[in-house]
Amino acid sequence: MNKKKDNKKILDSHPNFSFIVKQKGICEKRIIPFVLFVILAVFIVYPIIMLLSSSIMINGKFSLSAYKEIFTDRSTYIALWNTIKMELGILIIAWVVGGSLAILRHKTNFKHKKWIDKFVFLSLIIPSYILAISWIEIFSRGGYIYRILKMINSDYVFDFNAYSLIACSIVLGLHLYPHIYYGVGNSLKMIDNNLISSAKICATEKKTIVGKIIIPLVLPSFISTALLIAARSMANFGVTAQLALPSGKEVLTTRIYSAMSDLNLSEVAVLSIFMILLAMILFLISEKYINKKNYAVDNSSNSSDEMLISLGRWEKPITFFMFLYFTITTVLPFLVIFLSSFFKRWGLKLCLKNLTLNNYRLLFADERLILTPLFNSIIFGLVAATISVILASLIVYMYTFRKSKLSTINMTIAQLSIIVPNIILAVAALFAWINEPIKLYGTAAIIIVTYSVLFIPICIKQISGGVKNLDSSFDDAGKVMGISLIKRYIFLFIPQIKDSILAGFVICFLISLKEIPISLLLYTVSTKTLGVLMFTIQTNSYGLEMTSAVSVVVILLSVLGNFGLNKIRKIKK
Amino acid sequence: MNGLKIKNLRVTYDKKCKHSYRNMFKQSINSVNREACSDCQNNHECMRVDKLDKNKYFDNKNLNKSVIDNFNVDIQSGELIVILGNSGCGKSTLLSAISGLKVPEEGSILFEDEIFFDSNKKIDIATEKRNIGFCFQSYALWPHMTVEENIAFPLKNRKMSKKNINEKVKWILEIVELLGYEDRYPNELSGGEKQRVALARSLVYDPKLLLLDEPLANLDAKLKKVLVKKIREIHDKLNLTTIYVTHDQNEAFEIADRIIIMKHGKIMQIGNPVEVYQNPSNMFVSNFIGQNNFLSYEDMEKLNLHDRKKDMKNSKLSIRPEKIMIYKDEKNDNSNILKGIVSQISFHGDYTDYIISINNINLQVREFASDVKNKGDEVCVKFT
Repeated sequence: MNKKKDNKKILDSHPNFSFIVKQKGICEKRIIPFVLFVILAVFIVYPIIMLLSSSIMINGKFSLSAYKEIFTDRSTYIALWNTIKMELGILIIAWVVGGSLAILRHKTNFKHKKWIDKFVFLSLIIPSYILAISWIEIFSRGGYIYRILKMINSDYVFDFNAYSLIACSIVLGLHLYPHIYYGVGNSLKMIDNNLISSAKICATEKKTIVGKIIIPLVLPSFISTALLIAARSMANFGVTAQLALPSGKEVLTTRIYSAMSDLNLSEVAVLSIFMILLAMILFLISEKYINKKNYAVDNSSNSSDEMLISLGRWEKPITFFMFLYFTITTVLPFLVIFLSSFFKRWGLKLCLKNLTLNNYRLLFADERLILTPLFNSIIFGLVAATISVILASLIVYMYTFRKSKLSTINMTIAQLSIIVPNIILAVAALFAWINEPIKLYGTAAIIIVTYSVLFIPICIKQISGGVKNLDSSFDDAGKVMGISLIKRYIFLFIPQIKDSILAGFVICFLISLKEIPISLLLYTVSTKTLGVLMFTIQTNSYGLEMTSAVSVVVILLSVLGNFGLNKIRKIKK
Repeated sequence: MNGLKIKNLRVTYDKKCKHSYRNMFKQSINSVNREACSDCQNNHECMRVDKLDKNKYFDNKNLNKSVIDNFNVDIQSGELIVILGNSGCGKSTLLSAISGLKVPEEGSILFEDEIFFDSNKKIDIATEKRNIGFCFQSYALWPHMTVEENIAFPLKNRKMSKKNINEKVKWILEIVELLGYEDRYPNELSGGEKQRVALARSLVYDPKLLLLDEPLANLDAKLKKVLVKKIREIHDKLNLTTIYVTHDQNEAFEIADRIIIMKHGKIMQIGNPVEVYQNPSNMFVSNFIGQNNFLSYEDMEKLNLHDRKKDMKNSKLSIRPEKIMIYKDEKNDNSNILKGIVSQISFHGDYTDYIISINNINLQVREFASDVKNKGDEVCVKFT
C-alpha cells in the first residue's frame, strides 16, 4: 500500500518530470560507469593527451616544429631502420625455432614432446633482460668463452663483438619464440585430420593440400603472432639498452631514453607519439587479419587417429639437437647467471678460490641494496595488481551484464594501453604527473598508477576469458530477486570468476617483479624497484657478479610465481 | 482483484539482440520467407523478402521493428497463464518487459494497481523493486553456492533474521520436495532437481508474480510430465499469479488456466485450453495447435462434401485428424462418407496416424483403434 501511495505522490508532485529515477538499481547502473569513466579518463586518456599536446605545443603555442625537426633528422630514420632490422632478425629466429618446435610437437611422433613443453615454458619465464645479461657474460670480452679460450691458449685474441643489433635479435628471438610456438601449435592442433582426408578422397594432390588447406589454416596465427612479436620487440627497452646502446646503435626505445636523459622533452613526446602510431598500425593489422581470417574449425569429431609424421631414423639426431639447443639457450643462461653470482669479482679466473657467497650476503646485509627495491617491487606490484583487478572486473561486469554506451567506452579506454609500449606509458605519466594539478612525480603513486594502467588490459583479458563460461542469466536472476548491482557484483560475479581474477593478479604481480622501463623513468631514491636495481647496479661500483646475484633472486621469484600460476590454471580447468 | 494488466505494450529489438532481423536474415532467409508469409491470414505485419536487397531492407528503421506490438492483456490475480508460440515470437521478451529486464518502447504494465511501467507517465520501476519471481530456462543457479545458499541469498538480501531464513528455506524445500539437498552444489544435482531449486529460489521471498521462462525446456519428456504437475500443484497451493512461457503445446494444455498464443509479437488468441483447441480464432492458431487438415473450397468440391457453402469460397475448412473416422465398409445412408486409400502410416502406440488419399487430396486421420491398417488398403472415412 505504501508503495502505491509513493507512486501516486511522485506522479502528483512531478507531472512534467521527464523520467522518474527513484530506484537504487538505476542510479548504480549510471553512477558506476561514470565513476569508472572519470578514473580511466584521468589516468589513461589524460597522460596520452598531455603527451600529444607536448609534442604539438611549444611555449604554449601550437607548432609542428618538433615533428619537423625529428623527421628531418637522419638519426630518427637510422633508429627506425635499426628497429626494423632488429625485428626482422627476431622474427626469423622466432619463426624458425617456434615453428619447427610446434611442428615437432604436434605433427610428428617425436618421443620427448613433454620436454619441449617444459623447456619452452622455461624460456618464456626467464626475463629478457636476464637473458641479455647472460649473453654478455658468455660472449663479451672477459666473458666465459673468452676465459675458456684463454685458458686453452693464452695468446688467443678475442675479437667477437657481443654488443650489436644481431645480439639483440638473437636474445629477443630466443625470448619471444614461445609465442610462435604456442600460436602455431594451437592452429596445428585445430587442423582436423578429416580435413586432409576429405581432400585426399577428392583426389587432391599433396602440394595442393599443403597450399590450399594447411597453409591457409595456419597462416592467420602465424601472422598474428608475428605481429604480436613485432610490437613486443619494438617496445623492448632492457635488452636494447644493454646490447645495442654500447655499440652505438640506437633503436626507437633507446632513443627516447637518451632524449629523456638529455631532457629534450619535445623530442621524447614526438618519438613517443610516433611509436604509439606504429604500435597502433601493427595492432589494427593484427585485429583486422584475425577477424577476417580466423576460421572456426569444428574440432568435435572423435574420429581418426592422429596422422603423425614418422621421424624414423631422424629421431635420434633430432632428439640430440633439440636437447643441445635447449641446453645452450635455456639451461646455459641459468647456469651462467647462477655461477657468475658467486664470483668475487667479474672477470676473475674460473677456479674455486675465486667463488664466494659474499655477494648474496652483501645483497641482503645492506638494506638499501636489494631489500628496499624488493620490498618496493612487491608492494607496488601488489597494490597495482589489486587496483587493476578491481577496476578490470568492474569494467568487464558492467560491459557484459549492464551494457550501456558508457560501459562500452570504458572498455575501449581501459584497453588502450595494450598498444602503448611500457616506456611510453612511463613518459606519458611523467608529462601528466610531474606538475600540478595532480603532482605524483617523486612518490610511489606515480609508479603504482602507471603499473595499473599497464595491468588493466591484462586483467581484462583474463577476466573476459572467465566470463565466457558464465551463464548469462545469473545476473538477471539476482536482479529480479531484488539484489542491488553492487551486491550482485560482489556476491554473485566475483566468486564465479575468482580464479581468473587470481590468475590476472599473479601475472601482473610477476610483471612488476621484472619490469624495467616504467620504474626506471619514474623512480626516486626511495622508490627504487628490482628492475631498476638490475639495470643500475652494474654502474654503481658493482660488477656483473652482483647483477647476476640480483638476477638469481628475480628468477627464483619468477619461477615460484609461475609455479603458483600453473596451480591456479590447473584448478581453473 | 486485478492481477496483471498490460496495455498497448511495444518492445523493439535490441540492435544486437540475437533475434534481430539482421541475424534472422543471416540464419535462414528461406525459412523466414516461407514461414512468415504462408500463414499470414490477417492483415497484420509480416516479414516478406521478395527482392533480396540487403541494404535496403535491413536499414536502421527495420532494425527497430517491434518484437512485441500493441500487446494488451488482463491477467486475473492467482491465474496461471501460459504464453505459447514459436521461437522468436516474443514470449521471453514479454517476460523480460514485465520483469523490467527490458525497457519497452511504449505502453503500460500494471500489477495490482501498482505501476511497473508507463511510457506516458514516464515511470519505470527498477527490476529489483518489482518483487517478481523469475525462473530462467537455464535455471541460473549460482554455481558457487549450495542449494541452501542459493535459496537463502534473496532472503539475506532482505535482511531477514537467521531464524526466519532457515524456516523459510525449509518450508520451500519441503514444497519442492528437496529436503536433504541443502548442502549440495548445483553441479551435484540432476536437471529436474536444478529446476526445482530454481523454482524454490524464485518463490522463497514471497513474490507477488511468478514468471517462468520455458522452465522445463531442458528436461526429458517423462520428467517434464512430473514437473508440470508439480508446478501446477505449487501454484494452486500458493495461489500466485503466474505467467508460464513455453513452446510445448502439451505442457501448455496440461498446466494452463488460460493460454495466450503469440505470433510475431502479437496475440493470436486468448482462451482456456478447450476454447483454443476447439475454436481456433484463425488459421495460424488452428495450424499451430495440434494437427489439422485444411480444405479449400476446391478441395471440398473434389471431395464432394455436401455441407459446403457458397460463403466459404474464400475460406478454408479445418478438420482435426481425430474428427475423421475410418470405416471398413461404405455406409450408403451417410452423405459425408468418402472412399480413399491408405498412403502413409505412422504408429504411435496408443494411436495411429494415417494419410489417406481421396481424389488426389491427402487427409490426415488419427485412429485410436488397436488394429492397424496396411499401406494401400482401401478405406472409407467420415467427418464427425
